[in-house]
Amino acid sequence: MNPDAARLATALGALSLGLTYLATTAGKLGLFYYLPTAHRWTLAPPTALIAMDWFARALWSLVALALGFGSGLALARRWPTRAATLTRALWSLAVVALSWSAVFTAMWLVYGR
Amino acid sequence: MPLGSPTALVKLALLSHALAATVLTGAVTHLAVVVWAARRGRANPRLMKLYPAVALVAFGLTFALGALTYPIYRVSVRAAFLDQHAVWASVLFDLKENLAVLVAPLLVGAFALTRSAPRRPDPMLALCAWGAAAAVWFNLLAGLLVVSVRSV
Repeated sequence: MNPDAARLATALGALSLGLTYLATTAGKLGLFYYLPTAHRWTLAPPTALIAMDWFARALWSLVALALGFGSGLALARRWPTRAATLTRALWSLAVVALSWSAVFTAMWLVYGR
Repeated sequence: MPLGSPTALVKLALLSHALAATVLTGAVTHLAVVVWAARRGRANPRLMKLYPAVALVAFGLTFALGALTYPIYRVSVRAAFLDQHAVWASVLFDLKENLAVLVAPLLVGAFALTRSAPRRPDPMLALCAWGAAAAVWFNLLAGLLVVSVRSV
């Protein structure tokens, strides 16, 4: 794998995952729920049953990682010179998004649950 | 608990999850050390390519086995015990589960960035390797603490 393509793909994949994780966690976007006592999936969980949203959050985040990583490889192949200059900015944003996600999760679980 | 019973299968899944997590912790710890040595001029390109691959496979197994046992934990451990008697363990477990998702791009990045076996790793690889090692160690210790309170 070309090192510049690997760098851009890593940056774009990490940024995509970080933003998707934040959107599904803080914004509650695109969530579906597993009801472990009823053994079924739902978009609108009944309040009386235990509902798990982690599967949806994990799925969308990993899909975003795959799409971002693939897009990074494709971008680097098509515009190699622009890709090299983009990488640093995207990686900085990715580090912010991942750190923000981790801190937000800790605050949400400790104070918001 | 007869062999083949649902309880035995859940215990087997939990043990396999723990074993895969141990391999993952070993791989990311070695990767962190190899990257640190390479940045000080003592590169080992063979190991720098090997450890991210092992870590990625172990992460996939750990993640899948964890996801498989999560619903059982949610009902028979968290709802039945932790939420009443050890809320801190319940919160710690949720933190661990969510942190596991955020580790994925660091491991994928470490894998991609080491395919060309760089002799001097760039800061991006260092952040992936060290960040993944820190998060995986946190998750391992958090998992052990939660299991020491109550497990599936």
